[in-house]
Amino acid sequence: MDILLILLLSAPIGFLGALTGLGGGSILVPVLVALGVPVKYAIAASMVSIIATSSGSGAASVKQGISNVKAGMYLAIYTVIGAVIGATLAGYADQRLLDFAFAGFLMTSFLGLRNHFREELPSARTQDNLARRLQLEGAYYDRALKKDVQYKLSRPLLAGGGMLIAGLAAGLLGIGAGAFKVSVQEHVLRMPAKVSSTTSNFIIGMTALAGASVYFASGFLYIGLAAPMAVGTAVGALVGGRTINRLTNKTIKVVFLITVTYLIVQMLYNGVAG
Amino acid sequence: LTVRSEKVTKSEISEVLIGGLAVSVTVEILGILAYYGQSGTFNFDYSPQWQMTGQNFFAYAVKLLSSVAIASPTALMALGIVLLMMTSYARVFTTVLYFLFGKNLIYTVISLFVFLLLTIALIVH
Repeated sequence: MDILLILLLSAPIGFLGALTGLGGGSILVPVLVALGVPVKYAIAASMVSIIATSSGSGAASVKQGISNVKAGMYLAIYTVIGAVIGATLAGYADQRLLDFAFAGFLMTSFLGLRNHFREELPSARTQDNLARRLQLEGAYYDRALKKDVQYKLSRPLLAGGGMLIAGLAAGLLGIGAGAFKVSVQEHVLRMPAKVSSTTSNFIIGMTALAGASVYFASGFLYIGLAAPMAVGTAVGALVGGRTINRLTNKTIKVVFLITVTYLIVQMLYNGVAG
Repeated sequence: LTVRSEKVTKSEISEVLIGGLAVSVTVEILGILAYYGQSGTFNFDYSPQWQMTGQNFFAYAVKLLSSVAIASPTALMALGIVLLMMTSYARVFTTVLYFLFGKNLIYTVISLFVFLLLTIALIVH
């Protein structure tokens, strides 16, 4: 296996991961497996690269004030617990069943987002008491729309349940589960797409750290894979994190939908081919 | 948190992320270049020298840091990965501190809980 090849492949995937909030792991794993890397090694290394994507894009978007740190920390409770449980259960789960389950999991995100395709910003909704107590609201300057955007989030408990499922899938499949996280944040919390993508990247780093610790202990983490992947995705994510605020939310959704479509096909293929 | 202190918090979190990422990526690149300089190739295999494993992540990190003076290229790359993972960990700790100093009790407790969960995940296997 060639370290330089892995590094060059990882950079555009890091860029895409940062732009869509997917984390990049879902894209990297099938690419590495196609190159002949054993799947468990690919998953373990992908967990490390997800941390790089999250740190790279998170650094830019947190500073720009797009990420909602409070919402991110609140939701991380659920994703980290889910990831630890999922990674612990991973040794007992059937991989083909998981591929099918995840394809279905992604389809929900796809269909849900398609319904909101024409919506640049989510429509206002009355904030519930818990969301108010948790101070789940925010504001950011949208460069593409050239205006300040203020938003209030709602239904934090339901979103927490969704995030627990996302964390579980992340731990089981060795991915960031960003597609599902983004979907939960946009549909349940009513978070604007840009805030959702960047907050998802912020959370994914913590989820991936929990998952990576399990793969580290399992002996599946190989330096020759993880190091170049981390470098490539970090560079890609830094560029992606700085690009995101120049694009409209609709553009981000288009990129997201194309990527999710590819992932659904890939997961179904994996499930059928075994 | 006031609007001003919240901006400071976000700036500090961002600096932890960018600083940790820059250092870890630099160390990894140095490791990759050192490996190329030593072996004349970018190829690697799945032998134990390329494996990064242990039961306690912090014990592994301390062991790696204590032997950094005699570092091999693979140890340098491993150090980069450890630093990257610690960056994510440090970000949560930074968030705890700033919510604490900002006297935001709810988010101090929430971020501290996430920090403890991650600590347990890195130690207990």
